[in-house]
Parts: sequence; structure tokens; C-alpha cells
Amino acid sequence: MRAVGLLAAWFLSAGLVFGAGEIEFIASVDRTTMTMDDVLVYSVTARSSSRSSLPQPELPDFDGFQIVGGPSTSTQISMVNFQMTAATTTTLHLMATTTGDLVIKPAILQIDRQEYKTESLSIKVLPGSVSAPPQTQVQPSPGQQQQPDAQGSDDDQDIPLYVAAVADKQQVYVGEQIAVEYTLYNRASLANLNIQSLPGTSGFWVEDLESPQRLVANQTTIQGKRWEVALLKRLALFPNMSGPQTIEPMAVQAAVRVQRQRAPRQRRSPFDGFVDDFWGDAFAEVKNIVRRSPSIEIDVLPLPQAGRPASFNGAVGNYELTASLEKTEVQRGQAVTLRIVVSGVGNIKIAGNPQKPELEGFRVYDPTIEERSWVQGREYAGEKKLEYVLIPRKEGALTVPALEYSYFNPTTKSYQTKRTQPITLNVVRGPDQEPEDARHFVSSVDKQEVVIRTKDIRYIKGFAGHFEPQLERLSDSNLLWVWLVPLIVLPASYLITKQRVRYYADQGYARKKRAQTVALKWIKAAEQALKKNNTKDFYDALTNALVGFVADKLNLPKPSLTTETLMTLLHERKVPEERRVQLRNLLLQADIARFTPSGFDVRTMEEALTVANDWLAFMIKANFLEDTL
Amino acid sequence: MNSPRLVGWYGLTVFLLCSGLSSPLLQAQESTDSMTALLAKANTAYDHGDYQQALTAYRLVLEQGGAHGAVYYNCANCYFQLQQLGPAILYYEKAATLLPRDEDIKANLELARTMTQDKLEEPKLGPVTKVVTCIYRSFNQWELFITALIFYSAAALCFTAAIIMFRSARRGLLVWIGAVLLIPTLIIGVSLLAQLYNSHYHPQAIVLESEVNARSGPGTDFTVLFTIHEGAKVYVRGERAGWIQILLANGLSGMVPQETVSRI
Repeated sequence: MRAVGLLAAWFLSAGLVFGAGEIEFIASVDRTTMTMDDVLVYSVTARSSSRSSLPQPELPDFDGFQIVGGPSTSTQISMVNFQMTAATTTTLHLMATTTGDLVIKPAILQIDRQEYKTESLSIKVLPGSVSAPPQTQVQPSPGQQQQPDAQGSDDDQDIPLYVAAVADKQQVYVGEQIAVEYTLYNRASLANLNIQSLPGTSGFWVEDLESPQRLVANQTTIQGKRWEVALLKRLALFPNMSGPQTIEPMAVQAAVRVQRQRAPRQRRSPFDGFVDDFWGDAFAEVKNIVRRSPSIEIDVLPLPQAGRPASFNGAVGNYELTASLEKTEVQRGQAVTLRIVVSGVGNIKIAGNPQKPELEGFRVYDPTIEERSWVQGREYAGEKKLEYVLIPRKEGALTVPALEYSYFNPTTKSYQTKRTQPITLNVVRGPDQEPEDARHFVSSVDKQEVVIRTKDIRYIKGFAGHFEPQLERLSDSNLLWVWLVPLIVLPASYLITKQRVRYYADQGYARKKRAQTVALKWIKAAEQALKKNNTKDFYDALTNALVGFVADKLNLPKPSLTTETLMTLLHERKVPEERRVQLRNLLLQADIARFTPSGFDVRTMEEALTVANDWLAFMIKANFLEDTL
Repeated sequence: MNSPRLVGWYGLTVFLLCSGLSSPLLQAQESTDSMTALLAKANTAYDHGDYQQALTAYRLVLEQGGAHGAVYYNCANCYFQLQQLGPAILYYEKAATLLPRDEDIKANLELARTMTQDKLEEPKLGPVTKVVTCIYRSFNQWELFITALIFYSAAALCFTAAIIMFRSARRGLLVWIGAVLLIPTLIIGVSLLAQLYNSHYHPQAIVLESEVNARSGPGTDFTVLFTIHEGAKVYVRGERAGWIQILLANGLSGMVPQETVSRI
């Protein structure tokens, strides 16, 4: 029956073009009357008996239509009586965007500079749902389900394989979960299947609830026919904004084995599975088809304004709130962790954090936040864990106040608030800690930055005590002349020192200065010799004292001074006669003593010493020998 | 035998200098008494928010010869409170030359400079110039002079001792110590000379009027080369018929009327 219907539609709608070079180029539609809800299958087939490959046809603009699927292309090559035939079919799925009589313009095929055209096709589009789709109606399990797309009467559309999209709700609140299930209904011999494109879900936050790696088929009977049913995907969608929203179709590409030039083969056994055995398909050809799920309209309601708590932070679902401290007793200044956990059903990723608790007596650091989500049955659930590090600054019982978390529960259609119990922490003083009274010792962790509130100039300077002006100019200073002091002192000291160096270098000067000291030394030596009654030593010392004194004073070599020379020199220096005689007598006495082996008696020597002392004292005092001549 | 005589010479010199100084100081005692009273009055006026009166008193002290960084600073604060940015900066600069390490002066000068309109960057300096500049900006002339003088006197003392003690074996050591002491003397002396040179040959000035046109010559007929605003620091290059030739840090040069700028 279906074959006859297909043939009728073919003759009704097909525009045939027979080219000179045995090119057959046909455009066809599966129906000529349709509604706005229907999907029209438009196919262009080019067939040639002389070529093995055909170029892609140039498709017309589909004015008044929207392309909802395709283009998909299939190529067939067959040999009949050593005659090869190649055929290429391009298929598009169209939906009308306006009602009335619409025209699909010809498609064009260019081969070897020749142009082939199909005829234009007229389609009548009705507003309501009038035309009955030619395929088997699939009526899956009850609920708010969408039917598999009713699509065309083309070759492909004969293949009993459909994708159903079922949403668990059609009216939701912003942020509430919609579970959408994509199911495959199949009676064909399926070789391969993959998801070509995921549903378009702009305006939704999408999470995967289930996506089987391998398809698991169940058997079900619909209108007396057995179908294989398999879950393709289950998604959780959370609308971001209110208003009508559309979940766009999901596309599935399937490779299906079909019997060549035969009616679709009836399945022998329900246990064949998705992939038929090899022998049963000895004459089968594999066809690639694309199936689309229907789009789903969702009415999204905004969250009600009425009864919205102050602590509401965008969470939608059903949550629990817990708060706990890791310890019940700590030392002052020791860290303790406050853990706040929000968990439950809903999209935790779009739920806000619980508000920061107002903690008195604690220093509170920014929390670390951990998020985790999982699938709980058919619902998306999650947990948000906030950990605050608290440092108690006071001793005694400190309280973490009751915390609250508000969310919108779509089940009860109302806002709900969860509260925790206040937690008490006992803060004690550590063994080495100062008493709490010593609070003016602020620990380094408690130090705060000084905040600049505004800028202004610094205050004027006071003048404690007596005011002394500063020297403004260096030239005003009298001390400037101090620079010159060394310039005077240095040359002066140089000149003075130069003089002194000359004196030190003069031998005569030195002898003159030392003459008296040396003479007195010899007198001492003479006294010693007298005590020992040593005549020779006594007179030697006496001679040295007297002659040496004159020689030193006059800077003359001592051996050159004979008694006669001495007398002359002393005479020249106007030494009195009496003193000259005294010296001459003493020296004479000394000469005699040297050549008298028995020596003199002690009294004579004592007299001589007294005379010598007297003579020296006179000479030193009289200063006859100071001036050189 | 020689060192007491040496100390005696220097002592005598210092005594003579001090006795020369002491007589004018005694005369100054009386005038500083009146300055102290005036300053106390000015500070009270400032505290009461009477900035104009405080300013008059501070300026009177300055005119009487009571130059002091703190007085210039207080003056500048009065100008700042009276919203006269140019004179405020001028007096902060004067204060900074006398008290170059004072944090209050630095802070207020910096704050006042942020309120000026012109962006004038300091020229980049070489490493040697940097050291000399750093030294002479950290000390005032008087401090540099005294420090240099101490080193110089110590060096001179060493050299004198080395001359006089000509028979001592330590003469060589004394000469060495004297030579080492001459190094800081030279560095500080050069810094001082640089400061004196700069203040004499490259004096700086502050723009006092809100907007001053710098022209290509000394007269309003000349072309306006650029416009400079209140509080800007400029170098004075020369003077001609009531006009001052200024030079900016970026190399721009022009003539401005004498009364629109004031030397630091």
C-alpha cells in the first residue's frame, strides 16, 4: 500500500528532465499539501548511465521554508546487463514559515557546460494540522512526551527509525531543572549510529545526566508492532531567563541496512539486536540517514518577587545547610576552621554562596570554596563547601551565630530558608600566653594597614626655647677665615723647624752645650779614684775634666791642647793671671804624678781636687769661653 | 715637648676668632629675643586659623634677619593654607636649602608639587655628578663648610706635627693620615663649591603667577613660546630690562617678566 502511495506522490510532484547525454535530473517532494507543523522532505536525484560520478546540484533558495535538516547526499552505483548507472540523491528537510501556495524553484545541475534544471514545485501550506503523515505513528510511553518527527515519504523515510525527545516538564521556573530524554525508536537493521549534533540549548545551562557509551535496547510494542527502544542521552537543562524558550532538535546519523529492490525486510526475531547478522543481510545495502528529534517549547516562569528572603542568592532546588567547627576548644590566637556546607538537589554551580558569617571576637580569613556535583536519580545535585579560617582574639565562650541560606523550591513553588544552630567555641589561654588584659600587644597577624583618608600638608614647626637664626649665606660667616689658619701655621712651623735642624746639625754647638756635664762627670771619676788612692787614675780624670772642658767649649780637638797652647788661648780670652797659674800648676802636678811610680799622698790629691772644682766653678760662672773669636 | 706648643698656636687662633665673633653675637641677643616672641605669636595665630596674621609675623622675623628653615617652612604652610601655591613652593624650597634633610619639608613640598600643572622632569645625571649632587642636596652650605673645615684642620694638624717632630720616626705615618684626611676634605669641598657655583650661576626660581607666557624676547611684542604655570621650578639664565630668561628642565627657554618669578 505504501509503495502505491509513494508512486502516486512521485507522479504528482516529480518534475522530470531528460538530458541529451542520458542524464536524468529530478526534484521531488513527499507531499504537495502540508501544514506549518509538518516537515517536507525535498529530494533532488541525478542519475546517469554513462558517468560514475556526478557533481553536486545547485539547490534553489527555499523562500517561505526553513531548512531543518540536511542536506544529506547518498550515491548509488548499480550494474544491470553490463550497464552501469550512477545516482546521487540530495535530501533536505524543510518546514514552512508562512501559509499559502509556495513555490520551490528549480535546482540546477551543471555537467560539461550543459545545464540541467528540474521543474519548479508548488506546495500548499495550511495553517492547522491537516495532513496525516504517511509513516507509522509512534506512541511512546505516556506523559508529556513529544512524538518522533513525522518525516517524509522518500526512500529514507520508509526506514522505521526515529528519535524522540521528551521533556519531563513544559513549564518551569528560572533555574529549575528540566530533564530531557532523547530516545531512539527502531525497527530497522541498524549498522551504526552516532550523534551528529547536540540539541541547541541557548538560554539554558546544560548538564549531562546520562549518556550511555553503548546503546541498551528494550523491546516495546506500539500499535501491534515491536520496536526497539534505546536511551541516547538524558540532559538536565536549567533555563537562564524567563519567557518561552526552545530546545532545538538533536541530530542522529544512522547507517541502516536495507534490502535492495525489495520491500523492507521484516525482522525475523525480536532478539536480533541493533546490528543484524551477516547472513541475513547478504543482499542488503547500507544507507546513511539523518534523524532529528523534534524541538521542544518550554515556558519559563520568572522567580516570584513575593516572599523573597533577604538572604536569597539565586539558588533553585532543595538544599540543606550545615555549619560545623573542627574543634570545640582552642587557645587564643590559634586557628580553627568553620565549615559551611550547602548540599542538595539543584544546580549548585548557579547557586550563590552562603553569606559570610558576622563573627565577633574572631579574625576571619577569606574562605576556600569547593564545589562538587553528581546525578541523583534523574536529578542533578551538588554540594558547596566553604571553609573559613578563624582566629579567636578573645578568651571565653565565643559564638558562631546561626547562619541561613535561602533558596526557591520549585516543588512547593515557594522560597525556603534553612538555618543552622549557633555554635559555641571555648577559647582558652595558652600556657605561654599573656593574660588577655595585655591587649595593647597587638599580634602581627592582627595588624592593619593605616588607611589614608585625605592628604594635607604637615603641621608647622614650633620654636622651643630661644630662637637662633641660621646662617643663610656662607659669606656671612666669620669662620670663613679659619681656612687661612693652617696656611699661616704650616709655613711658620716649617721655618722654625728649619732653624732647629741647623742647630742640631752643628757639632760645636752640641759640644759647647755638653761641656759642663762632661767636665763634672770627670770630676766624679776623680773623686772615685781618690777614694781608691789610685794616683794615676785620679790625675788622668782631673786632666780630662779641665782640658776637656776648654776643648769642648772652644770646639777644639783635645790632644792638640798642650799646656802652652792652653795658656795662650786662656790669655787671649782674658782669663785672669791667677786662674791661668792655677791650671798650669794642676796640669804640672798631674804630669809629675804620672811619672812618679810611688804617687802622691792623699792630702795633695785632695787639695788638687778642691782647686780643680773651684777653677771649673769660676770658669762656668765667668763665661770666658762662651764666645768664639 | 712640641705638641703642647702646637695646640697652643691653634688655641690662640681660635680664641682670637671667637673673641672677634662674640661681640656681634652679644649684640644680636637682644633682637633674637624679640624674634622668639614674634614666632610664638605667629604659631598661635596659625593654630587659630589666622594664616594671614601668622604669615605677616613670620615674614617680619625673616626681614629682621631671622633666617631659619623652620620659619620659611611655617611661612610656606601659611601660603599653602591661603591657597597661594607659587609662594608656598618657593618658601618650601627656601626651607629645604637650609634644612635639607627635614622630612616635613620634603613631604609638604612633594604634596604642593603634585598640585602644579606643569610636568617638569629632572634631567638625568652621570654617576659622578650624582654623588656630588646627592651630597650637596643632603647638607646645607654651612654643614658642608664645617665638615670640610674639620677634616681640613685635622689634616693641617697632622702635617704641622710631621714638620715639627722632624726627629720622630712617626713622621711618615702622620703624613699619611694627613693625606687620607684630605680626601673627604676634597670631596666635601667640591660639593660645597658645586653648590655655591650652582646657586650663583644657575639659580633656580619659582613661578608665582597662575599662568605666565614665556616670550622670545624681553617685551610683550615678542612671540609667546610657551606658557608656564604657578609653582613650576625654572632655572634663571639671565636678566635683561625687567625680564628674566628662564630655562626649563626639558631644555625650553624663554623670557618672562621679572615679577612673575622669584628666586629660591
